[in-house]
Amino acid sequence: MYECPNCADNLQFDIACQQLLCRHCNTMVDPYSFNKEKDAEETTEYHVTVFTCRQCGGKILSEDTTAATFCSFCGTAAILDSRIRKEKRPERIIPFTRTKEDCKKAYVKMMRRAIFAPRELKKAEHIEKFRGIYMPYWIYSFENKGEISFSGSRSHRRGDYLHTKHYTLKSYVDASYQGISYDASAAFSDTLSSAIAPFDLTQEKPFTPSFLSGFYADTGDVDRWVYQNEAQDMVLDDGFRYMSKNIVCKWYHVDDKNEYSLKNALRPGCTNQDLVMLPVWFLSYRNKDRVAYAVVNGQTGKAAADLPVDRKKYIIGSLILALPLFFLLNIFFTVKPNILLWLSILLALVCGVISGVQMTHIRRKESGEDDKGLVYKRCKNKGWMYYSDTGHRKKSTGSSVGGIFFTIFATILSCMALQPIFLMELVRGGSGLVTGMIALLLFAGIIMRPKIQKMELSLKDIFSCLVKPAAVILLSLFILLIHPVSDLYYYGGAIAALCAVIWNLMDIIGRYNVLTTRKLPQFNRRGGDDIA
Amino acid sequence: MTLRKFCFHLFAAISIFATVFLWSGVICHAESSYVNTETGYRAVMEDDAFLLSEEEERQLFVLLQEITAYGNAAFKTIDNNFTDTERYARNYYQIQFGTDSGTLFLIDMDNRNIWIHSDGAVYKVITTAYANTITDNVYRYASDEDYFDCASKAFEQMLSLLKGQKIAQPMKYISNGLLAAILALLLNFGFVSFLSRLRKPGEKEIMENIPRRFSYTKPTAVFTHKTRDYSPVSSGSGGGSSGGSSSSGWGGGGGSSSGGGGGHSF
Repeated sequence: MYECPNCADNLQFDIACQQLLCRHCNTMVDPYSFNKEKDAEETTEYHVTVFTCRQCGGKILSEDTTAATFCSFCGTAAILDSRIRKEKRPERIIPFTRTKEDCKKAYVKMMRRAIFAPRELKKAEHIEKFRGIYMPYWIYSFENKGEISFSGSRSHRRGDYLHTKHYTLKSYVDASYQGISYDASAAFSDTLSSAIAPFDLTQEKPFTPSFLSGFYADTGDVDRWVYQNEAQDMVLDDGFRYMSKNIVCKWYHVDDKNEYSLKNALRPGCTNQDLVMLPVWFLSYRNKDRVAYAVVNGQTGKAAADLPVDRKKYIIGSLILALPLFFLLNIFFTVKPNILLWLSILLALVCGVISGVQMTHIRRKESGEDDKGLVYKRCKNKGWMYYSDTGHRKKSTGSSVGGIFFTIFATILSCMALQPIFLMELVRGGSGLVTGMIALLLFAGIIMRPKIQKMELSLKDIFSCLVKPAAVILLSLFILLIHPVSDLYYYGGAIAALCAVIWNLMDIIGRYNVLTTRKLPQFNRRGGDDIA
Repeated sequence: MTLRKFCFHLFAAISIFATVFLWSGVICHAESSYVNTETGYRAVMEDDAFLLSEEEERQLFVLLQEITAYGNAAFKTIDNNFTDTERYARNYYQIQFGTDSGTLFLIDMDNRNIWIHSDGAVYKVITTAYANTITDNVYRYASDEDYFDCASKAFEQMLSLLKGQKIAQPMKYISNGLLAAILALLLNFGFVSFLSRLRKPGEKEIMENIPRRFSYTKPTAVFTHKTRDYSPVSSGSGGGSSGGSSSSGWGGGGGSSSGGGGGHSF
């Protein structure tokens, strides 16, 4: 706590005047002049109060020793534990320049487009819960200065032989990149942090703890080298884009045939990895065991949020949209019962593809596969070695689920497009295409069986993603194959299939909500309130 | 008997046989025809498959006559068809009415199909969609071998449409309702996914927002070595298209028809 030199009340950083302000006597104090001596003593560490949430185990730092009343991350209304701890001192800080009012305005503006978001997210009392948190970021700087050499070539053909002249190209490069930022907190999702990027690092200032007064801070628990390769690759790509445009490089085919050689030559060295505190306004919304976050860049005002869908609102909105669609369909579309069955098959396949893609994302998100910081933290906790790749993703389970349906979907479409006879049969409800489809399904089943076994899907996932759409498809195909005269079979089958498709779509919305929220305890290390 | 006499008797016998055969052909089916003096439209009924009794034919013909207030009307039943029902209906209609406005209801016992074909102004009312709906509504009578009810209900529904009235199509509304609901759910899902996704700034955007410098001198090239690789040019079958397409078609068919229709098996 910083005492006012005039009245001994608590001093807090004021965004508007960019000074420490006493709200009691309006005394303003320069953040640097206030704690100069103490700062000089501790160059690598500083003392801070750590609040720990008893429920989610979350930790957050504050310059204030006042006990927090509830956890701002998991929403628990419990008294948080607090203790003084030494923390690694960041090199620099960008103070908040956007006030809470600015932040609320940016959030409200963003929420205008979220028409199906739960009403609670738009309520004034909820928006009031925005908290200013300084998030730790690693700021990487790269440099490449000196002569580089790389390969080039020119080829020409003589008869059946390709004659290639090889060259070594030399150039003097002077490249410097400063301020590529990645959040250094495993708790802060990479998707959220990148959504509010970039920060203007030209406004950064030397760090002093008094800037934190009135705000929270998160701890940097991700090692500096975790994102270094990714940042380096970004720099490399940029340099390559520059150089490959050069006419000499183009003449010697550096851009296509000798790309690797040039990239290797351009690889820059990392000159600095600085820990910098960047300002973020933070808001959480809890629903049962899931939590959604909204963040606003405390410097630029750029807002981003996890936006779940309120099912009730979504269904009402869809019904409203369905009305004009119903009238349009009645005017232009009279569907024959067998075509209706084909449509239900296509819709079931579309649902299958969407479900598969969603499962990919859910698995990546829940496992933290998409978040390098989180993966690093988990590896560290388990005592495993962490290997930092360059951001290329492995194909995971969900894509295989989507892939099954996508394969079938694409095959049907290509069959229809390439074989007019199939199309004719489709129009006439012929059995040739139906037989072909069943053969295709069996074939796809045989081909995909090992993949499905490898997926280790839960029964719920299998039922939701595979059984439901597959049941619709098989039922429809069976009816088309037996080709009854009575329309009742077609209509009965089609209505059952379409109802199953609607059920599938409801599951898709459920999965969408899983995707837009995070499981609790999300961070397993946070807590705090805004009485800092 | 001279050869000349024998030939004469043979010719006479053949002529008598042919005449009797042809007459029997004419009278083997009931054919009725009527011309509406006010509109000039005709009603034609040919029950070649003997599906209706005389009384039923009379009742049905009254309905056909009512339709002539709006266009030509025909009822045809067949038990031999070497083509498909749609083609037969189209050809029969053109033979009877050319490209005039009107409608035909055909019962094809060979393919076990019923079909409605319309043309001209009537086709604008009894569209393919309506033809499908009407045949969907009446095919069950044909399945139960109640051909009179099948035809009369079909003509009654056509007449209702021509009078500007509506016909029942509950399954159309149910299926369109479900399709509309699914499309709305899918569209809203696309809308939500598009608007709510967290956008990661691209590399270019990140690079534009950081202090960076990239300068280089013009690259100089120094020849090092030369290689020669065997890489035969693919012969390329070429082929090309044989070009030209025949536009002659077959059998003429007597002018173009803008009509169409729909049907149902029974």
